[in-house]
This record gives sequence, structure tokens and C-alpha cells, in this order.
Amino acid sequence: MHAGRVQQHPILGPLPDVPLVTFTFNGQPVQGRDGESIAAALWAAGIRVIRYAGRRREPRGLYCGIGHCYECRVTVNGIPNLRACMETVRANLAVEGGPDRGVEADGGTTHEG
Amino acid sequence: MDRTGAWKLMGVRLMKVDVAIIGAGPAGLSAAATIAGRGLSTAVIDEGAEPGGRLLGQVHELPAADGTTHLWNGPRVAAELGADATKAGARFCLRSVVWGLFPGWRIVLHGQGPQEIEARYLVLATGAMMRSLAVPGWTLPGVVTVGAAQMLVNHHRVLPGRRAIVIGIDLLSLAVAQQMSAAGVKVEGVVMPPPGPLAGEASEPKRVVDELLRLATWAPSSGVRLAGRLLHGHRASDLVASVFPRGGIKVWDIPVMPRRAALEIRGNDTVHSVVLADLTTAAEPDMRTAHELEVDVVCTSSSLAPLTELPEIAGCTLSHIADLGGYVPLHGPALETTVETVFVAGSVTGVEDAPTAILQGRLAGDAVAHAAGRISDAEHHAHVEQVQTELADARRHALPLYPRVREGRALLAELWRQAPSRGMDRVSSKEV
Amino acid sequence: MNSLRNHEVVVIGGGVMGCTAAYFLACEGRDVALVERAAQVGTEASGRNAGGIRQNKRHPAELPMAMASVKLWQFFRDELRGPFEYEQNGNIALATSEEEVRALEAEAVRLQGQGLDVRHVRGADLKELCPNLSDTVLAANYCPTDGFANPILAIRFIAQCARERGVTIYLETQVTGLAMRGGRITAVQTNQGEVATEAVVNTTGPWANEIAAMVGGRLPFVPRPTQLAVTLPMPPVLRQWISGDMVYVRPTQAGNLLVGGGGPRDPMGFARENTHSRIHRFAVNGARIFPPLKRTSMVRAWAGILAISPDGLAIIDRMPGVENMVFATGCSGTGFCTGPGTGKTLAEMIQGRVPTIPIDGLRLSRFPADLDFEAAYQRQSQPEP
Repeated sequence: MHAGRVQQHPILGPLPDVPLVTFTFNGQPVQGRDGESIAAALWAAGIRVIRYAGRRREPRGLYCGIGHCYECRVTVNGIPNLRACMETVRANLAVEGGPDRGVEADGGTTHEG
Repeated sequence: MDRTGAWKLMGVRLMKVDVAIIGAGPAGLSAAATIAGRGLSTAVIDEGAEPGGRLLGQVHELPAADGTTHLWNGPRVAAELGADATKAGARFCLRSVVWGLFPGWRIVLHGQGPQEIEARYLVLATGAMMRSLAVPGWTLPGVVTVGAAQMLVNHHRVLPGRRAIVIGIDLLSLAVAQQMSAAGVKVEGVVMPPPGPLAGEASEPKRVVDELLRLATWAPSSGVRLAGRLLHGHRASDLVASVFPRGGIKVWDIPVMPRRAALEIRGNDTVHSVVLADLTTAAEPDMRTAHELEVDVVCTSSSLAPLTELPEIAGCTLSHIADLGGYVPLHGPALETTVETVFVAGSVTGVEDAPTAILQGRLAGDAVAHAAGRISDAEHHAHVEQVQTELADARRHALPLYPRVREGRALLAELWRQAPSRGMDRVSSKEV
Repeated sequence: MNSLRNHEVVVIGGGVMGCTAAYFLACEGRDVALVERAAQVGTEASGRNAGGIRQNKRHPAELPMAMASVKLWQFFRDELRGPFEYEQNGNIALATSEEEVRALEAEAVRLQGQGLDVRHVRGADLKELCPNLSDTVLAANYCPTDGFANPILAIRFIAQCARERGVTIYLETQVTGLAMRGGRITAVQTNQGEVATEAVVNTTGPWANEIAAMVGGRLPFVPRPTQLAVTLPMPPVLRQWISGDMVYVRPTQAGNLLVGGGGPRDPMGFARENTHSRIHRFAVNGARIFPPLKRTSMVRAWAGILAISPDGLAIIDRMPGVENMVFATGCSGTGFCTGPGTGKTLAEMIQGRVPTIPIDGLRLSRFPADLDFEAAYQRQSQPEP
């Protein structure tokens, strides 16, 4: 169940026309408005879980919205630890949640425990 | 694509300016226009994709008691301030995080712009953040601060959810609740945080009712206004707290419930409900009234704290002044700090609103121009006096976000008077 | 107003050496006061270091102290059930040049000769031991019983053990003077009052000369800052403590990586600041020996103060000219590891016994009495670029 967009803002008026772009999140295609934040595009698409944190694999997502808490961190085109609330959507971005423990490191093996 | 490409050092990209302003919110933008307008080369650094800071989410129309409305269009103000700064000659380094600040000044950045900026003077306008409200279940996706909800609705034009609950009763949470409601979210209510030491005063109904009474002049309900006038002077908030309707009263059409608290947020991957209970007059949850309310978004509100990492790294003396939000850099009447080439402006100096921040930006900008020899002592003093007058005026008409800002500023002024001009260790307001 | 009472022994300085010295003295039934000027124990080097507990790469004079200290750390962890995240996953000293490889080979032989289980590793064995090292690493010396702990948890645990044994810990209490009569200290003067006492232990690390001056002495060491940084949590890519190319890296239980490393020419002093060039070196050198560092960010950096001695080895001895004072300083960055052994040694010296752990090469007398180490150090130090 997702709530979608504010089509008619009480003060700012109708939602301006902005091209839609498609990016991927954890391999799945998502549509967003060009130039909005990744977190906003995901939220509008009904995706709120951005990553699973820690040993207990707790679902985490947008929290402070101003780039402070890093709970929304994602890997974009291979660059890790970017804030989804600060990074903007562009066509063909490959976005993944995290990184967090349990994810394979680049070019190496992991030790469990 | 080469995954490590982003990390390769392709040679240091260095920018040299007279003045670096860190933070492109209202204070930083206003300072930029002032400083660049005096012919000083100026860089404005911000980690965001566009200038404006918190202005970008501040769009509200709050009805006041006299029938007028207080309309504020933050993004428009941000665009105007940004245009002024650009026209004056300031250069913007956006999408850039300051990760290090070293004597000289040497500002080291991570992001899309230059990697290093050398500047003689600094204006630190880094703003403030909202403290977290730790309710069991608060880490679930779907739980956001009221600031994040505000950004979603006003900046990103995204609905936070279909049914919302707001935890924490203060002017900001009421305003955001109203904005969400106007945008089409069903706001079930604005309730209290769970009682206990974590939420502190904010979980005491008597305090909150006091606060609401203070805000009473803004309430469109004549009943509340009358009650406010009668009771506030007598500090009879005890009485009011106990006769306050359990179902709350409506402020701007949103149910506000100082006698009901959220105890727990529940969900699997995302929020699906919140557990509420009524509070006894001793401000304890009455578990017989505990019930689960289905919501798909929870917005929390807590106090704001100035973001003082950069002033601290720069060596500025900080003082803890609760009425201003926490630790603030000790500063003088023209926003000078205990470090000669560092100035501050905006909410980092103490949490206030955007119009105040804009005026402070002008003041700090003037102080920098004076320090750089672009204006005379006489001119500078005249400007300081003028802006101080405008600040006093603005504060009289400001949205009453925090009740004791004046006391906080007075304490700060006293601490400044007592501090030597340099090299003083951290001073606590308790030591005065 | 005197809020302190008299004690048989006063230990000055609440770091790992002071806390363990107090603990071991109390175990022997002595009435001990630990005096610390900060609001907490372990606020300086003992709480700021990366928690390394290693025997690898030790100078021969220091190896016995390191090996004994490992046993004592195990005692605190296992017998006393100390929850300070002490893991013995191993220490790997890396070589990134042929010259370094030859030096490591010789060092392995020497250390083995002193009874240490250390192995020279290369090729497929090295790859299996630590899969994510870069190809610039040619060989390594690996000590499997080495490891690391959480220093803040460790120091607080030891202080708690000391309290439970009857040590009185006076916090926010600064020593302002030492009263002497006939070559003996009779009382310790502090900003909270005076403590009449029979013996004093000076474990104030890089501030040891502030105390030494009170008895007219001066010890040959210089204070020198060292920096560390910590990254965001990572997937489990590293088990051991690795060092080479002037940096060291080690994992925490939460998955962060700690990065640190000093330099023999760093300027002396008490400035607890981070510098751009050092952070830069952590990033560049760290990523050079351990590429997974490129996939994370440093989130916090800090610094602590070391006491650097002329030969990089600790100085543990009786204070010259004072009958009833012992001290330990100059640990040169090894003090956390050797803290328990040093504390035990100091306790034994106070009790008038020959130390169980050999400290022959660690005595003050190895230096000429007229050595002006501060001047010598100053001459060879270089400010950072």
C-alpha cells in the first residue's frame, strides 16, 4: 500500500511536469522524477525499506531526511555509503541498499562471525 | 565501469577565496550576498544539490487568531536569496561535504566540486538538526522526523502515507501535521511521547499544556484563546491538564492530545500501527486504555540542536545554553567567535527561524567585510546597530518556536562579555 | 577541606598501568588510593588507543613483558570474566618490499628464539590467512596468539575489579605536590586535600615529568600525539590486526575498521588534533595494503598522546633520589598491551620483591644521566607537510 504523490499541493499548486526516469533498486526497475532524491522516488513508489542493518538484519529506511543520520545509505553505481535522501535520481542509476554486514566485499571473500 | 575510479586522486582541485561560507541555508545565502557584494571572493559550500537548506521544505500557511494567515514559501525565499548571492558574485560548491577543516583555513571536501578550498575567513552557517525520539519501534521504515515529513510533502511532493500519527506536541509538529492534512494525509492526531527520562519535559502533559497555552494566541479556537488568557497568568496548567478532553482539542483541524501517549510503534518491514494509551494526571500510561491504531506513517518531533562540529573543529569556544538548543559557539554582537577569522550565523548560533537567520547572515557578512578591511569601523558599527534593531523587531513577530530564546541570548551575551578574546576553554552556562 | 583519607599506597594516574598496579597491590592486601585528575579513568592514551595486544615485532628487551601481559589479559578476560571484546585473532606484520621481507625473515627467527609462536608466511598461505590483502604485500610475520580488545571497556573493567578489591579511586583529583622528608615521600598533595602515604606509583604516562618535577627529577621521554580514524561498519573482510607501510588496520566487533599509525619524526607535544596529511596517509596507505578500505568511509578521527622514550622501549624503575616511589613511562605506543605486566611489576617493586617479569633492558639506568632527549628529539622531528 503506498500513498503516492501530492498531485495538488495546497500552496504550491499542481505537481509540475518533470520527465520520469527509470533506475534500478536492488535490481528492480523504479520510476522517479528526474532530479528528485532517491529516497523520495523510492518512497513514492512504495519502497520504504532501503537496507537491512546489523546482525539482526533490521529493516531501515529514510529517517531524518536531511542527510544527517545515514540510515538511508545506499550504493549507487558501485559507490557505497551515499545518502539516498541527498543523491538525485538520474536515468540508469543502479542503486542498492547498504552496504551492510553480510554483503560480499568487492574482490574478496568474507569471514563469517 | 571502474568501481574505484571515484576514489582515484586525479590531482587536487584547489580553489582559493577570501571567504568560505559553509551552509547554503538562509543564513549562509544572506551572508554570501553581503560579503560578495563587498568585492570579496566568496565560496558557498553545501552538501545539498541546491541551495536553501531547511527553506526547501518550509511551505506553510498557518491561520492566526485575528483571521490573518502567516504564509511562508521557503523555496521561493531560497531561490531569491540564491539569486542575490550569485548576482553579487558568490560561487557555489554544491553536493560537497566538508570532511575536514584545518588551520589556514584549509577546507577539505568530498563531492562534486573542488577537493580543497583555501580561505582566509569562514562563516559557519551549518544550522541545526532534530534530536531523535526513541519510542520502541522507532527504527522501522515509515517512522520519520517531522522535518523529513515536511520535506517529503513540500519539496519532493510525496505523500508520507495515508494515515499518520505525530508524536511530540510543539509548534513544528502541529504545523507539519496541518501541512500533511492539507496535502491529503489523514492525520489521526498529535500525541505525546512515552513518559520517561528520554523524552524529558516533552512527555509531561502539564508542560505541554503550558506550551499550548503560550501558543494560544495562534489558535483559531476562541475557547482556547479565552482559556489561555484566563489560566496562563495563574500557571494553572495543572487544572487544565486534568480537564483537558481526553480526545484532545482541534488545532487547525488536527486533534491534539496532551493526555494521550504513544507507547510503541509496530510493524514487520514497515510501520503498520502504533500503540496509544491515555495518561493519568500523574503522567503515567493507564494501560487499561491501551489500544492499537492502524497507521502507515509515524512522524516524531523533538527539540532542535545546533550542528556545532565545524565550529568545534575550528577551535571556537562552545557554551551549553539549553534555551538556545544545546551547545552553541560563543559569539559576540556581530557574530564573531573566539577565533579571530571565524564567524557564525543562523541556527547554529541558537535555534530560531528563517527571517532571523537571514538577518544574522547580513550581520556576520558585515562583520567579515569589516574584518577584511572593506568597511570602516564607523560604518560597521552603524550596520550592527541597525541589524540588531531589525533582529529585535523580527523576534517580536516571530513564530514562537521556542519560549526562552530571549533568555538564552541574554545569557550568551553575558558569557561573551566575560570571555577573553581567544583561547578560552569550554564554558558551561552553569559556571556563570 | 580534606575529602581524602590516608592510604598506604597512592597510585597517580588512572590509565591501564595505574589501574592494574592498584589492582595487584590490593590483591596483596595493601590499602591503595588511585588518584586521577579527569572525571573518568582511561580518558587519555589508555582509552584512545586501538587496543592492540601483541607480541609480534617486539624488541628482545620488551618481549617478555609483552608475553606476560598477554597471559594477564587472558586472566582478566577468562578468570575474571572481563567483557572487553578481547579477541586473539592474530597479528600480521606485512612486508611490501624485498628489503622488508628479508628483515621479517630475520625477525621471525629472533622472536621464535625467544619462545614466541610466530610464522613467516607468504604466497598461498598468506592468501588463506588474510584473503583481502593487496598484491603489494609480499610476505608477512604472523603471530596467532596476538589480538586486540576494546580499550575503554577494558580500562573500566579493570578499575571495577580494583574497586572490588578495595582500591579507593579518587576522580577529578589532581596531584599538586609531593611532601618529602629525608628522601621519602610522606604525603601526596592534591586539589581535594592531602593523603599521607608510605609509597607512591607514578603512572601518568606522558605527564610523568609533571610528577617527577615535584621530587626534583626529570625522565627522558617526550610526549607525542598519534592519530586514529574509524570507518563505517563493513562486511566481515578482516579478522586480524594488520600493519605495514606506516599504517595499521584492525576490525571491531561491529564491523568498523580502525586505522592508525604514527611516525618517528612527528613533532612532539600535547596537541590532540587530526591533521589533513595524516588522515590522507591513512586513506592512501591503508587502501594500498588493504583494498576493501576503498569501499567504506572514515567517519571519525581522534588523537591521543604517547610517551616516546629514546629507544622506543618502556622505562620502569624506582625514582632516583626517592626511596618510596616507582614509575613507568615512555611506553612509546605499546603501553596498552603491556599495561597489566607493567602494573604487576610496579606492584611487586612496591612490595619490595624482584619483579617476576624481567625488566633488565627497561631500567632508567640504561640512559646517561645527562641525556637531553627533548633537544635531541626536537632536532630530528619534522613538521607534517
